[in-house]
Amino acid sequence: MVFIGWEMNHNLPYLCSKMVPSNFNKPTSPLTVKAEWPFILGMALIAGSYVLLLALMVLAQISFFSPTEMARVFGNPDIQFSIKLTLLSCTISALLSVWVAVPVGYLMSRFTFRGKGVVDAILDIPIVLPPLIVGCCLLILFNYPPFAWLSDQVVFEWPAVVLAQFVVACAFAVRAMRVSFDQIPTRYEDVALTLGCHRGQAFWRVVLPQARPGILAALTLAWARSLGEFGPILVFAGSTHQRTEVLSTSFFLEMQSGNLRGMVAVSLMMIFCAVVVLSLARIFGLRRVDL
Amino acid sequence: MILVRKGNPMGIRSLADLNNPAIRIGTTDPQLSTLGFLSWELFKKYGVHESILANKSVVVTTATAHELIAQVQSHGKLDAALVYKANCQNLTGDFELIQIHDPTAIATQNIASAINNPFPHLSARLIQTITSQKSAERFSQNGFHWLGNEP
Repeated sequence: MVFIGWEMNHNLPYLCSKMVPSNFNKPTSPLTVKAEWPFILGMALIAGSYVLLLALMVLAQISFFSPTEMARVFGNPDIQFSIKLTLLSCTISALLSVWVAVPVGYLMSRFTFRGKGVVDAILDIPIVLPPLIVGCCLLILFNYPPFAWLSDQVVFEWPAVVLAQFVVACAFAVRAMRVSFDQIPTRYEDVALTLGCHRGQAFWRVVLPQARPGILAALTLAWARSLGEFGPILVFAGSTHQRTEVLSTSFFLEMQSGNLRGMVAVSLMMIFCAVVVLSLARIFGLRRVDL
Repeated sequence: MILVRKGNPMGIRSLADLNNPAIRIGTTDPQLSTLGFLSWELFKKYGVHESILANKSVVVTTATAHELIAQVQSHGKLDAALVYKANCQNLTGDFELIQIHDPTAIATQNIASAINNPFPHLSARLIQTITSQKSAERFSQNGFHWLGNEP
């Protein structure tokens, strides 16, 4: 910047002398490079402590691992049903979340309108509210039309599991998509509009391909959030064996029966599922996305 | 107790009425809860177990009775729920309780101390306090039936 402005501002030599350090043109001494280490070490210590804490949590779980209990848990038809329902419901709710999060994220990123702050706050409700309250809200909501018309098919049935997961996971997916759209410059979209595209074409052909890593990030985040969802499912869908039991509620049921080994077995299953899905998502191109 | 909505719209008078496939029932989990276990034992005893399973009448099971009561209050899908009388202290007048006249429907809570208890005097004082008249009144106020020294 200093040299671009040279011909435009005759006072620049004076400014340069004020702005540029006296050793600007001198080769960097090895001492200066070494001085970065305390900073990097400090950062690494904080980051490393957190990663270590997470790793130790998993290792602690593994220390209570019992192959016999794992075999019992895997052989239990209720748990087998729970695993299937977990994988299915998490996938459906994650896809639904992205389907909703893309338009919501795009509108919130690109447009300014009256009441945007209120809409933004409403979108954050599932993130802020304790999950049990979300479940209670859903249960009460289904007393009123038009939701009540679907009550027989949804309440205490497997669609309630999907809906409970979706409500919370979608809020996180919306955040991810909004950040993604914020990072995409509007310039390309504007160029497409000037070249004859209408808004929809510019969105499908220009914006959406650029948002692909963001969509994958939102999908992963929504899937992971759905996997861990527990409170709303317990209230809205119940924890009925062979009907609405998912792995998070299986863990709760094992805890209620005081079976620590069973709890560990279910939690390790959940960790395994999470690691597999998150790793697959990263393999499919999430390396460039930072939320 | 069978917890039903005010006016008993499904006309439930006893466990035998739960045969009706239109009635949707909630119980606590028979594998986790004593109440749930007793509820399902009563279904067997009154010969409605098979029809309840065939009709898929039990639409929800919960870990505790209070979760079940919260669900009954929050949504109108459940017509009947099997609970203890003591669980219903905070219910409003929108519900009715139908008593089940059967010994299995009564859960008796005993109190005892181990023979090799290292703190026999402390345990004795605890039992004395719990079995006192003041304690009995407290239990009765909270919906329990005090048996005391009854056999």
